[in-house]
Amino acid sequence: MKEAKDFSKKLEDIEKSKKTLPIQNLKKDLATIQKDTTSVTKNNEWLKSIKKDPYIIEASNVVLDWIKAPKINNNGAVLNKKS
Amino acid sequence: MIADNNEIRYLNENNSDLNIDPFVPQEENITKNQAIEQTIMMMIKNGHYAPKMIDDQFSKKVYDKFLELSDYGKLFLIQSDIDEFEKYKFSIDEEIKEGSTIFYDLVSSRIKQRISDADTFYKEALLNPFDFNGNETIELDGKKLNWAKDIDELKNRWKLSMKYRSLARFEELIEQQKKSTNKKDKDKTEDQLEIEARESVKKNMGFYFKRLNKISESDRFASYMNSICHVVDPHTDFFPPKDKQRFDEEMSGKFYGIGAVLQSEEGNCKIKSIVVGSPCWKEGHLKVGDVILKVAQQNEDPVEIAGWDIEEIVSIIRGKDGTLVTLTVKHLDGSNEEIIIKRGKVEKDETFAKSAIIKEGGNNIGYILLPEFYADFQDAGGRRCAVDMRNEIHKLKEEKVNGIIIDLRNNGGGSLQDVVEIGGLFVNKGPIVQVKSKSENAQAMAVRSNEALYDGPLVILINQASASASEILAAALQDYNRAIIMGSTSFGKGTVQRVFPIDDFFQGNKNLLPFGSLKLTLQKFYRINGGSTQLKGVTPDIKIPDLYHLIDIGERRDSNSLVWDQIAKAEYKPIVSLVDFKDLISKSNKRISSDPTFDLIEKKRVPIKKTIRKQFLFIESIEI
Repeated sequence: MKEAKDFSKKLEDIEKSKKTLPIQNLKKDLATIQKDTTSVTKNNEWLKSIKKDPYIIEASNVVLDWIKAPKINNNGAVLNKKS
Repeated sequence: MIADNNEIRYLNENNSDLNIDPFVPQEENITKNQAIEQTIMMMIKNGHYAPKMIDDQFSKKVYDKFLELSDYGKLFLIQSDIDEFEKYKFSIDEEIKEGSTIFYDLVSSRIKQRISDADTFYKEALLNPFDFNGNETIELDGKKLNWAKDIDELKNRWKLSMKYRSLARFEELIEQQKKSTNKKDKDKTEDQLEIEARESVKKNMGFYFKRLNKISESDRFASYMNSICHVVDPHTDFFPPKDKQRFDEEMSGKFYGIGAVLQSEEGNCKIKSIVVGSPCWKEGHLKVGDVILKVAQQNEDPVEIAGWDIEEIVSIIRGKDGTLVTLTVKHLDGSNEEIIIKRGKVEKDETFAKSAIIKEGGNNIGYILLPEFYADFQDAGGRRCAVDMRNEIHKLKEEKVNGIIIDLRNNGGGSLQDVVEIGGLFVNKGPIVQVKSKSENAQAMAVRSNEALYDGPLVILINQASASASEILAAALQDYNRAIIMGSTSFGKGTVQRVFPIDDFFQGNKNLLPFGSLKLTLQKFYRINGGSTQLKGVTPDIKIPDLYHLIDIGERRDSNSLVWDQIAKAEYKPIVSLVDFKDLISKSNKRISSDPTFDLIEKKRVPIKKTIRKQFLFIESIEI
């Protein structure tokens, strides 16, 4: 039990020292979110949980790398045509 | 258990999917149980994707499973009972073929008798004071015990068990006394506390036996039928007809909760989360991590719930709308508190897709959470996840995102058609999954149009609890080289189930109905590259350490699971990516290996492997 507590404490400390994700709602969702206090609280808790989620943080790092990655020159590039 | 919710379903389900003749009983005076057994076995034999041989080995497995279910802690049956049962060990297969339920009838009636015996044993054990000095040991894991050799040994087991429980309670009372400022409490002698401890255990045991005695014949038979079904495969389940009263209560919505999610952990009942807006959220004192010690109904004495099953705890916390329930909880800081909560309606936390935007260094990354592949199976015009996902992507495109993350962690599956449509948001015309029925060749389910909505960077997050439909989507996008999959290896479920009313497959005395329903494994699905996700799951391109990573969960855990195999590749062309995935993967691996959080998790997971595994088997959470 003590071991488990120490472990969560350590995790918390590390997470506190880490950067959090700059996350926000979609403009189109705002009206629905602000309809009552319950839904505002729910939404804030949700955003808070994403901000500190180490898995989502690393996923966003990979997406950023992908965005910045040099494009390989090839022919059959289906992804080329922008929709 | 988590695993039981992992499913994949078709929209427009109908019984003609199970194209088999009904069971027609030969004997006129067939009993209800026999009729249920025969009809189910016929449905499995002719409808199941991979029915097992009903032989001696099958019989032995059913035998072991049913005895384990009937007396998990080895506190009721004795060796002479087992000796009597033993002769049926290798003949349940014959019974199944002949349509008799002799073994079940014998065990069931014996168990009933042994429960009423034990009812007197525990009371006897609690009559006289215990001597807590000296050293004694108790084995609480039934698997490590032999059956009691006779009634005397059984009585001793109960005595020891009652002593153990009383000692635990006694120590609690001593602790409470130390903290108490009340003179009356302070003055109590150890002998008085010992009496209090025994009385409290007796009261709790009373409740426990009351619940044992409530187990109906139909529930018991269901556990026998499920012993058979689960040997066929872990996802084939029998659901008995709900007893009328319970059904009416559920339908009328007469029962209300408090809005907390409970989880059992090491025998404690913990608050896992609190539903925002619910009765206990409004009351405000109940916190995540609190351990529930006692539950009291209005104007009634509190009941200690230590050692209770989570369902049983839920059943007493629930009650009529507007009534009060008092929870005595232990907070994380060690303090105890009595919290009075008025029961009320709890709106289910939404499971719909939702998104947010990460704004990082001039880039916008869309994040979509999809908790399950929902679809309204009753209403064709109802809400569907494929439609919602399309909307979310539209909205994200309006916000000019240049990358998207889809979070499929803990997504246990859902509608098959919806997965295919969601795949079509990211790839053009082509197969997403191959589905194989028992007697047919595999059929590819494909995207029919070239209307991929989004063609930019895409990352999919999965974990061990990502199952069936989640695995299909992750696997397809991986096979197309369309997305990078991150997280831990997924659950490993590669089968499709359907629920059928058993009544429709029985052609005999209608007075015996209703029989309940059967969830049957009908098909297996395969990746477009021909491999199955069964047992193996989807291996992520980027593995991230996960606390539960080494634990044997998912489909791999059960030896009765269907096997992994492979079929021919479907016809598809992987997308030629514009970027080098290998480079992205190696950069990420470097970050992960130097990340302090993942480092801690990675180091942690080896030593706690055993304890967590043990816990995990019992972890279940229920919302009340």
